[in-house]
Amino acid sequence: MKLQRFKEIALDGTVRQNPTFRLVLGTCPTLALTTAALDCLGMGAAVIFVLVFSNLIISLLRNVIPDKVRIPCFIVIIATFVTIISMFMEAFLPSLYESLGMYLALIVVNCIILGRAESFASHNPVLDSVCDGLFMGVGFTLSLTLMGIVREILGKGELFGLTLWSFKIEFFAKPAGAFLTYALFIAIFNVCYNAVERKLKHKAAHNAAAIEREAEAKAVASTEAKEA
Amino acid sequence: MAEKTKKSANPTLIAAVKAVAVLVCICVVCVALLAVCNELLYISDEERFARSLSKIYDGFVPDPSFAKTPNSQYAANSAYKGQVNSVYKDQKTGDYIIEALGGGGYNGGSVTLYVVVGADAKIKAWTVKENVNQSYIDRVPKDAGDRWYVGEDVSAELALDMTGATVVLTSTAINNAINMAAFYARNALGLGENPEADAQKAVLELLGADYADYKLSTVNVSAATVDGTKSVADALSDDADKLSYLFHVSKDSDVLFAYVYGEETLKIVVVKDGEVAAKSDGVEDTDAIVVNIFANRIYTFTFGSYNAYAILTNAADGAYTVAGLKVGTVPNTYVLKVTIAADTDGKGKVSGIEITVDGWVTGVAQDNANKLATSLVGARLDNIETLYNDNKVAGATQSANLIRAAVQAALSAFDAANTSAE
Repeated sequence: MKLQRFKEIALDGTVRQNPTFRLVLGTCPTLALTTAALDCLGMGAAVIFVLVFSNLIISLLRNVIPDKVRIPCFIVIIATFVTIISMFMEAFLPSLYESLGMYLALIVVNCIILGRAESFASHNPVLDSVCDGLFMGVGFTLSLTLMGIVREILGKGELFGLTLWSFKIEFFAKPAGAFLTYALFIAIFNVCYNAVERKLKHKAAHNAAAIEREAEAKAVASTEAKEA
Repeated sequence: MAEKTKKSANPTLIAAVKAVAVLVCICVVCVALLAVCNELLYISDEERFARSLSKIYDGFVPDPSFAKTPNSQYAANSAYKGQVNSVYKDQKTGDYIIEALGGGGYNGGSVTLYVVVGADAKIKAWTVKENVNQSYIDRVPKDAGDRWYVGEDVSAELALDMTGATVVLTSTAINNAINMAAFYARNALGLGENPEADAQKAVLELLGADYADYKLSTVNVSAATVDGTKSVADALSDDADKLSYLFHVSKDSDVLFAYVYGEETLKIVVVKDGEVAAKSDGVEDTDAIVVNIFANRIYTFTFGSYNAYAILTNAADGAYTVAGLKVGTVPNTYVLKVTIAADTDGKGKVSGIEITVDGWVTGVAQDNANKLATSLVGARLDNIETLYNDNKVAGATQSANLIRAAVQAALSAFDAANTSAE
């Protein structure tokens, strides 16, 4: 894989097509689990695992799986990896497993995973698909953790389970607080994203104009030289 | 032509077979992978127990001589829709860890707890092992196990505590599981004060070795009423003595009733077929309770798997006032006025039934139950079962049992009176 392609995939997964703030996918765990930043990291790790391995297998089998049964096949593959990570967490990380509760099992129906399988892994080579899964997962994890940090600090006065101060606004630890925080994050993320994109476009246009002007100047200079 | 048809059908068939084959292959590989993972990551029941317990109890060392299987006599209690699955004893401290399930939760579900009960009969800690259908169990505070019920004595039923919780039904299931554990601790482990168990023990001692294999069950005399409002306990008690317990003592078809009263010293009267079979020291025939017992005779009948009770409170001029008693989950008391006349052979025959207190609360079955009462007019002791079976109603079995028990009790009283008169 070329470096440029790798960069594209990484940027898509984490920023341009950020599943949480840009595509608004995986809303259920985003709203439910962001009361504690540590749970967000755990959930993110589980999603990364499932995304990477499901994308890997689906990409490997993309020429074998018939189109008509692709969705059942994807679901079976995804469910297998969700079950594996669920078993692993129950065995080795029981407190995290308990904290995530039913949301761990609900990864099976997470739109991010099925969406990437359907739109990316089933059409792209293995390495690209694995990278896509990894960075989509990283994007999801970062978004969740950011929200978790804000809600945990405001709602509980804690950070990663450690008490910072006794001041807390319990509203942020409740479902309504989750919706508000989510909305604010989406707004801030998209405003920043659009501003940066405009700036980059402007810069690109400016560069293009400068190149054009330079080329024109060169052309004029060469014409004058010829005439002279 | 045939070859052409075959050729055009083949691609569809092949595609379908391929689709199924691929899906099956993927499923088989996934199952194999999961089987391997399960083999590697399987968590045993002992490990689960140790994990749950480690949250609430340090340094647990099981007493190898203590049987983990609960005493079947006290392992279930319908009042809490509960059961005790296993019991452990700590070798060092003598504390008991009771795995108790409590029902009555959200959506008919249940909660299973590990409850630590100390040798001093106090609840030391508890934690949730698992739940069924309690999707909002997260709304029970995480520190509930440190606050709710801790330090409470298991001698009495514990009231619902849901401080800080917003889920009534899940909290109720937790309360039921706690009470199930307390019930087991009281009765099977002998922790705390248990006046009911003491009374049962006293009854068995009074009856002696001949009745050692008889089964005792408690009739809830506080819940059962004789007229829809007045409890059986109140009807039989007076100002000096109050009826504390009524035990149904039985083996096969042999049935006795043991009445227990007295505050400082337990007084026991055991009645069989309307006569005193045994009585403890201090019981006088003139005691108000003893007089009331014979004035308000209790009958019991076994209909299938049910024990139905009826109390005869008045008999005058062939009109018998009988109450089919609310016991356990059976609906409210039915009070019937049954008029009986002597048939040609001198045996009693029901000539009229009036329902004076309708035990059914609401619903279509109420009419059915009342129709049954009407259909029993003309019944005698020797044909009441046939009449009942011909007219029994669906959806009101327990109410029907109460009505039948009341009518049967009135007929029994009539026949007994006539036989003794002859």
